[in-house]
Amino acid sequence: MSSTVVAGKDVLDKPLKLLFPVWVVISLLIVLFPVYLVFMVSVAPGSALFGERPALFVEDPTLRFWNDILQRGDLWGPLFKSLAVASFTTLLAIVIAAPAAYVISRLPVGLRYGVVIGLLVTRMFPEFTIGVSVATRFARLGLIDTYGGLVLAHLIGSLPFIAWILVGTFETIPRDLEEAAQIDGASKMGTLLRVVFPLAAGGIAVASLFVWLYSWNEFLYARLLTTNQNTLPLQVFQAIDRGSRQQMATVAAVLTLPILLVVYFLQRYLKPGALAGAVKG
Amino acid sequence: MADIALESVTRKFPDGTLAVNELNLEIAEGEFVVLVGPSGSGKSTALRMIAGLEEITSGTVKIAGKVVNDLPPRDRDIAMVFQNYALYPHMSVADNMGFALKLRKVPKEDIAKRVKDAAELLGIEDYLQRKPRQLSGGQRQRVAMGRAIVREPAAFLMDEPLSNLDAKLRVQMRTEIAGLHQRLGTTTVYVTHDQVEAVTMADRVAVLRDGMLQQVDTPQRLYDYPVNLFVAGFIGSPAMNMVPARVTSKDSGAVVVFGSHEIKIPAKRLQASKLEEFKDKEVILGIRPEDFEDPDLIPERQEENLLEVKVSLSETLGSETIIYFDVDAPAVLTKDTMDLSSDASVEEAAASEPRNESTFTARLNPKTKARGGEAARLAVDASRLYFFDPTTGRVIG
Repeated sequence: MSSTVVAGKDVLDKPLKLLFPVWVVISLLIVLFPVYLVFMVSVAPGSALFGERPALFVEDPTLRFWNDILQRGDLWGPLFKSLAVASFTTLLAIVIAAPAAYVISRLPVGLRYGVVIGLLVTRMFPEFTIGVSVATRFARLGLIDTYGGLVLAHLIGSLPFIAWILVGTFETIPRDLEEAAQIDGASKMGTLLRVVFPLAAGGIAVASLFVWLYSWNEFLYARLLTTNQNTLPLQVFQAIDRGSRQQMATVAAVLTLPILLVVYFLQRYLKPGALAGAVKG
Repeated sequence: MADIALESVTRKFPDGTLAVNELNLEIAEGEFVVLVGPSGSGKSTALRMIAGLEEITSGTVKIAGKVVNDLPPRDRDIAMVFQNYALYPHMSVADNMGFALKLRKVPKEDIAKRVKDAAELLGIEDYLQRKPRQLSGGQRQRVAMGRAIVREPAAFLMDEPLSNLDAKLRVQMRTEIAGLHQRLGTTTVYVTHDQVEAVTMADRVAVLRDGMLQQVDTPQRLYDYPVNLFVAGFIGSPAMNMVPARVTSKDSGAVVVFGSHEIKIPAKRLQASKLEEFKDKEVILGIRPEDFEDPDLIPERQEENLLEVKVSLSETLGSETIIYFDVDAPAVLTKDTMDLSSDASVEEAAASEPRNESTFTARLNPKTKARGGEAARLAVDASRLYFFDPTTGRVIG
């Protein structure tokens, strides 16, 4: 029995080893090619795009369209609004969800999964059905066209998910560490701040990234709650009807850049292995 | 440093299990007390109640004369070493060790000095800047010890601190911990399931089973005077041989008979105990493996108590030879002996037809010629026989 398994493994080992890098490269291409196209088109002179076979590489890149956009300046307002809303939503979501998720992670197993599933039930309804009624209520409360209104709306969608991610993170932190901290003289709050949350940094980073991206890209609530100042996705949406392909691509690229920055700054928390060495594995 | 007193301490889990039942234990200042017992005996729960990590259902825990039942762990001035080390993975070794002092707002220079002193004591001064994940199991164990030592607490509580180490390192750390205790003199409560660890390190050993304290005494007295079958079987390695037997009069004295074997009981042993009351009733006879010897290797030979046996297996260990032989009497199958056995074979044996055979172990001088598959004669030190009441399991003495 065991020998056949070993033999089978031997037979499959080599092709798998060879296929694996190929598979990685193909996956990367599928994901990255559209992003590349956006940036490529945004610096392409008109002549490069409309030939019989559009080129994959731009030979004489131009920053004309970037200059136009920066000088026109109508992106700055939406950019600022999106940055502010995404960042405040993330901050609030973490502050609200992290302590809650910690408590849920320390519940008895049966209860814990009941609560987690309960959280996710709110995500089972199409956002649009909730969105319209939320928007009418927000209108009565005077939350239309306010940052606060949009942040609150984005919290509806993001809290259940990040609580769910964080419950999973806190579950992996051994209780022994908390007990050790208590014995070392830390209060309950001190234990959370000095031991539990630092160890959960990876999960918190992932959750933050998730919320930030959700809020940054969010369209429905932004559309429903905005009459005056657009967010960046709304602005991009409107730009699709206007101007050349290069202008559209440039606006889309502007939407992408901050994401790259955020990921860059969070990357050191995104690596695995944060808990290694805590307890004997 | 402080004394610790447990008075009728009970812990009942929410599911109704009595993890610790009316535990009374006094630990003197500077004493090294080991709580030992099989898994589920309540030893860890008892330790966690001293630490303040486990709720006390009833009874009182006192540290340095003060009732601490309602104090959180941080106000009890105790340090704990966990089975899995529980080092903070995001802190360096130095920060791990200094964490408690930092929380107590000890000045930075003092922390650095105390951490350095403790690190030197433990031989980990080269690793102070490393993270726990960069250390081996033994080094992590030392850091965990260091974290406790730096505190200079009233007491150390250790919960199976060596059970994750390999055998060789375990023996080494055992000696080191005992040495540390001698140097620091800090009151220590140490939990283990390993009776060898218990008897080698402890000033006194408390044997627990099913949440109940069986006996607490010095290792030597536990070995010499176990109060019941459980303690008798738990302390000592290899374990005591036990067999159902009968005490009867013969000639002018008394003998104990089991299977086809017979051992004369010295008159003194009979008079000094209540054994007389058990005459012609069933008792359980206990003989320690080291109370057998090859008669040819005893300077003053006593011909009277020789067992004729057939050796089934012999193990030569250099310093001694262990032999196994079958006795034509059934194995003792009481709750005591079954609790002692970690493998299922004993329970299986209890469930099936009782076999009229049990295996004895004897620990002989390595010069013995007794070999597996051969017949041998064994002398028994009859002054060191143990007798137990088969209904209560208590020693007859």
